[in-house]
Amino acid sequence: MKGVYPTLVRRELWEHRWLWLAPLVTAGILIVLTAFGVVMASSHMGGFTPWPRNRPLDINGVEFGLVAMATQLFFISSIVILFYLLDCLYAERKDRSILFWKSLPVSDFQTVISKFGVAALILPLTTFVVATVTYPITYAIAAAGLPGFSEMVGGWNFADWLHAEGWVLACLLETMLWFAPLFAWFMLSSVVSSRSPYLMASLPVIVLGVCESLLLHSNHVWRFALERMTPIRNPAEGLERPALWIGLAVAAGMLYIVIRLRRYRDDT
Amino acid sequence: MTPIIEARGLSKKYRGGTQAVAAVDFTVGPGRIVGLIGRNGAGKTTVIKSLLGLTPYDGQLKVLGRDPTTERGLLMTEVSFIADVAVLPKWLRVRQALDYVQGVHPAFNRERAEQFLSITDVKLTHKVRELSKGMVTQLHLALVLAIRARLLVLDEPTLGLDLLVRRRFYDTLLNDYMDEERTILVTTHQVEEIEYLLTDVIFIEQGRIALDTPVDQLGERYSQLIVRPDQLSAARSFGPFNERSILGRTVLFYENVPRDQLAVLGEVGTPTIADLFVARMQKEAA
Repeated sequence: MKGVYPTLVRRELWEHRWLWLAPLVTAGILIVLTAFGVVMASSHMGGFTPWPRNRPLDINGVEFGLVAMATQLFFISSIVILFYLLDCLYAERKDRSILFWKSLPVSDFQTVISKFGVAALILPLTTFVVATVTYPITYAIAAAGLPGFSEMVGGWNFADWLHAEGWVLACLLETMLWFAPLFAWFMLSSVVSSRSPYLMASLPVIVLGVCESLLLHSNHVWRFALERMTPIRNPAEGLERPALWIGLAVAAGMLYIVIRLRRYRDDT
Repeated sequence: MTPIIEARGLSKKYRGGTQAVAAVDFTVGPGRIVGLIGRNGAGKTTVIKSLLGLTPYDGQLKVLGRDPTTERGLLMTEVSFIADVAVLPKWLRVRQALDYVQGVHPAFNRERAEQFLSITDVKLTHKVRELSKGMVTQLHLALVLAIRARLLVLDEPTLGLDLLVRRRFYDTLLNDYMDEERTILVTTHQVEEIEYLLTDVIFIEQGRIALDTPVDQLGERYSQLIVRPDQLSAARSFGPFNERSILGRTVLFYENVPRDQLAVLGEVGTPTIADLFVARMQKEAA
């Protein structure tokens, strides 16, 4: 891979190996657990008995399975991304390696955008690919080991599967747009903090939330934060939320501040 | 000829009121090797950080005709920089370091870097955390020497390294890097180790420039006189700014005193940069 941005992305993946290891390891665990469950069911419980007997489930099994798997993988990825963003502009100042990174022809804009891109685009897409590959494997294990499983979930329907893939991808991308101000906020905490980016990111929200509860006996701050942290589960309504577009503008503003701070902040 | 560095009224005040650099003017031309010499806290590192766009400053500053703060990204295609050794991140592998610089730097010659590393003990599979301080320096030097930069800035590059590594560092720099087109700006505590390679010297004291001169013109302004005790009072009458005794003889340092007048009293010569620096510092302390 040539070019500045691919190199910057690779650099992030070298330093933060858990970014790509976490979804892979989770996928591996899910496969092992599926196989384990199938073996347990067929050897110790006298075989798998679909219930209700020989009647398909009301929900679409193939779609439901993919969404469930993608949700689990993406939940893990979100946690890894959170830690990554809080660390990404703090660690380089802590170990003074920023003096090395800044000695090379990479602007602060390129640095900040590449880190944001890793969190908001590269990692979610990686997770999506991992889910896409893992799901047929677990399905095949279940179908091979459990007679009647395929009938219960309604069989492997290619059209259903494709539909579910599109649905998951749309949710994922829209959720990233929805999360953008959160991501920018974490980066801002990372670039500002001199001790703990974790406190820097959470303390203002906690203080505001507690003050509101005590003084005004309401909980708008909590609700606002919780809503922002909830993924979009229906691609049809996500883009219609005005809050999504406002959030994007706020994220752009915060990223601009992050770039300025990385350029002018000097504590080496 | 366009100067490589041009500073006019360069100042820097830190929060808390410390005036690190106070309205400094200096110019560095192409092909020079400039030693920026001063005590700890004199403002050397602040000047260097300003030049590299690592810290905001007041006053005018142009490096290769560019504004270092707003154009750092572009500027770094032509400037290389080594701060004291401990800035390469510990998690980085040697091969990754090469991949990275190759990916972001248009003027990086990877074969040259690998060739340079092949004569060291540094292996491509090593992580920086596995390398000794000397090996990290060799790695950093390999990266920098493989970049065709016009200006190389070194801030205490050999701090904490043993003599052998320090010597090899500067030898490599002279033999493999320097030519008429290239310029080096270096700060160090170990003045005596680099004075043979400097073409210019800038003394910085309490944020101000105390001396800025080509090394070959030092002799026109400064002289040292070595005298026996019987000539000491006569020598002192010319107003030395510093003196010190060695093995029964006294070395006196003069500024702007004609050498022919001194020559009748003893042995006249040009002071070394290290002697001059120490002499000036003692004068200041007195």
